Amino acid sequence: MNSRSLKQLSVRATVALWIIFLAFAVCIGSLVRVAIIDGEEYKLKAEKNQLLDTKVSAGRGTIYDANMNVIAKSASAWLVYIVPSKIESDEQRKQIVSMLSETLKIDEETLTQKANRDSNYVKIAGEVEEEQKNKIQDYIKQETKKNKKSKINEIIGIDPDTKRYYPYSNFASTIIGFVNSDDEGTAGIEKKYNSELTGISGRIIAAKNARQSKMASEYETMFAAQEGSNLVLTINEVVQYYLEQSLNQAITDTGAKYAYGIVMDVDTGAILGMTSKPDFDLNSPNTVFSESVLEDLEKIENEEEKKKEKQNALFAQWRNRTISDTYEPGSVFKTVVVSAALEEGVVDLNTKYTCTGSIRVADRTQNCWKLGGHGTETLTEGLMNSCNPFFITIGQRLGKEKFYKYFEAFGFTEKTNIDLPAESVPVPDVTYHSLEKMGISELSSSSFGQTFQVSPIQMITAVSAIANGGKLMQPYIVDSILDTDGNVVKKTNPVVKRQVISEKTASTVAGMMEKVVSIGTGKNAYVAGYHVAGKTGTSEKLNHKGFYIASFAGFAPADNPEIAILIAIDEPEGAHGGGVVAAPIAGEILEKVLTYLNVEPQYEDSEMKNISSTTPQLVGKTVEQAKQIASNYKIKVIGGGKEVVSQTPAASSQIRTGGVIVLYTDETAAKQTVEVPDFNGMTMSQANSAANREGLNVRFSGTTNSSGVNAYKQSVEAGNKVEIGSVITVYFKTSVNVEDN
Amino acid sequence: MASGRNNKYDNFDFSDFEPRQSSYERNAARKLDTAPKSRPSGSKPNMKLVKRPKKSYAQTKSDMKRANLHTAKIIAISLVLLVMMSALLYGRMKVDELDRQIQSKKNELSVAQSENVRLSMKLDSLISLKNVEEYAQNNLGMVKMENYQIEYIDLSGEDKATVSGEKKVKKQTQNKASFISRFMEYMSK
Repeated sequence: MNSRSLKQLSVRATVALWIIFLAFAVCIGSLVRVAIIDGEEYKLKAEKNQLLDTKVSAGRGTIYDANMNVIAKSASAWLVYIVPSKIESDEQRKQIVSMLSETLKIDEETLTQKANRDSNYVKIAGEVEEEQKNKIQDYIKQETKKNKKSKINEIIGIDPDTKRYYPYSNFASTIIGFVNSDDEGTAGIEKKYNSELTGISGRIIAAKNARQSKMASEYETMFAAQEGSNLVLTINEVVQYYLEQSLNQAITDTGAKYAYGIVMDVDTGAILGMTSKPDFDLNSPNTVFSESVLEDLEKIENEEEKKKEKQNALFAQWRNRTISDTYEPGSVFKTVVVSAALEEGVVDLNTKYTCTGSIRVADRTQNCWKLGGHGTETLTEGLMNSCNPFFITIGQRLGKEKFYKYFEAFGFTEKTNIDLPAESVPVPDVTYHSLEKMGISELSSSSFGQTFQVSPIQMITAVSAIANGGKLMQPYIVDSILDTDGNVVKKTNPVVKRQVISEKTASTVAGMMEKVVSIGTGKNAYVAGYHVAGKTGTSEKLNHKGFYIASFAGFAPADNPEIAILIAIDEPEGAHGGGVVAAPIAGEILEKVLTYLNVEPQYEDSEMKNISSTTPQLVGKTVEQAKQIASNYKIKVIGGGKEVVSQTPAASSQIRTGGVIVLYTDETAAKQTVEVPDFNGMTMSQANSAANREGLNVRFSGTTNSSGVNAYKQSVEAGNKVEIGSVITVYFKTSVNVEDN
Repeated sequence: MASGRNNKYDNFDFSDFEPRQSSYERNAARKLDTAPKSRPSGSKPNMKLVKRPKKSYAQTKSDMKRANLHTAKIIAISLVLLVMMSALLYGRMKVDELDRQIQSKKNELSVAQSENVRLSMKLDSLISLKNVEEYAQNNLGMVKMENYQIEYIDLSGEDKATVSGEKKVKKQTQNKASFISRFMEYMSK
């Protein structure tokens, strides 16, 4: 090999080395870029390509009432969507719309609009149940079978979804709230406890196989979903049912715009029942249920405005007015003023005042609701009569500092902090008079519950403080939080915010409030056997002149209070006094609830007269013997036998003396029925006679121990047929001396 | 050079086994015209043949036997590997199949659980207090129990029994006596 060749070889080798070096440099550079600089990106791409990452949704927790009845529960469901851009012909569009309309019960017009959109994804319906999903899948299979080139399985899609079930529809709807399409709480408990109910979603990371599905479990990493916690409410299904039933009836009877009520455990602050009527069906929260609102919406022609008004109507429908709305408490607030005055010693039970029908405050004359005046009255009588000048005088004696001190202590300047969303916030000089800006006029008007506003939940919390010996409790609605195995994760302990008044003062005021119900303006809330304490209130709306809120707040039994109740009837038509409109409803609810809670009635002698006597045992006796034994009753014999084989009412039933006992002497004799008469408006004796004429017995409920009482309701509706001898309960109320302001 | 067992290679053209020129060299030759001239055909390559040591028949046979054994071993190992591979693949297929079955059953369970919730909720809604009360009152003619129907018994006094109607209570001693007399009568029969 010559030197030239060697030189050439050397040059070539050098060039080759350089090429190799450069190639290596490029490779290393690329490696650095791929591994370090863009490493994360490529890592993610690789993972995405090789791994299957599936989100495992955590089931939303269940909501129970105090008796562990399910109020809200979730289950998996399906979401149906379409891809309109892939629809091949108008005929196909028509077929799809028709099938979906029939299966999902959605009107064809709405579906046609959706199917005409130029879009790659249009949601048709969420929360679709298995049965409906199967029908849609069958349709897809059939269409594909008919025409193998059909893209129907690309046009209609089904994705997993969840559905929240509310078995009792309207039951406590404004408290429970609902979830949106993303399964997030939108109102009520569902919103307030959304994080507890939601849980934490899990993930399954697994290797993909060639079919893009999951490979064997050895490559699988699973992060289990943490199911949402379950909530146990303080709401008692039965108490809530009685409350809602009575308030629904109240809206029908009084023509009121709204009616709301709360039942609270006075010792703990637990809410046993809370409602705001009219409400809505939790299973379709986006439907407006009020017929009058729907009529108003129909009248609006502008679509934009209509949409806006519908949204406003829905917000109004979802509103829990017991915590989000404020109202002038009126005379109910006098219980707070009298508590403060007794606690501060500016008045006592012997304090007397002469009401002339008006009082001069600064440069104005303030009238009493009774223009003729109440005359000279004691402190208890002043509360019983709901005398405004008396309470203006008490407020002035108390002075603005002490008045404000108790106003604040009873919790009217702060939120109650109940565990529900959207509680109204008191605003000084807007919803109430601040100490700095409180003059003699403001002090005077505030003393009888006017010119300021409180929320119903604030008012019942204050009344509960009077009932439980002066302790201001923090109201609450969730009793405990449970994990999926039912173990208690968190238990709500009652919170005593402060001692507002002494036990002695509280007991004195409770006694005065009992008098209000037994012989004062609250007598329509009277329940025989139970000592109900309470106060009525009537207030004209500050921003809506000529419209009133009638209310009643009280507790029972007065000597050992267990439950407090607040009933407010917003804008009733006709009579608008709290004593006439709200007190009878409170009485009905208290009677049912106290019976349900097994609070034993203790009848006074005067009450026993109105109750009845016990029917004797007549079965087995001859007709003659039976007539002799039951000589105080009207006897009606059915059958041709000589011996009594059955009787109605049964032995030991309590009916009024002189009532009807039906004796059957033949076992084969058919039970006779009669039509229940309409007792509405009758006095007690008229109702008794009407019942006896028909062969029925009557039992009196409501206020029966005062003058001017008339029947306003009966346990079995007029016109219904019942067995002869049956006992019908007739409810009475009075319109005499129950006015207040 | 070519003798004995190697005589049969004498007629071979060993140029066929020479390394061929690469295209690079051929191109370079064309361009630079400096490439070495191709060897004239017919000239014999400069070859060196390695002589193998002579083996005896027994040794050759032994070698062949060893070679056959070796081949058998390779085949056996290959077969084992093939079987193992097949078993592994089969196992994977089975696991995949079972995995799909588990998934399918899980889905079925999930659907059944959802259906259970749906039906429970439907049942709950049908037996709500409102529906039960309406049915009891309107269809069964029932009336809700009221306070007056509860009878309280005062147990604060002495123990005594009150029988409704005109039934007379016989003294306990009389009852005992009659029982004993009845028993005696029975025994005497």
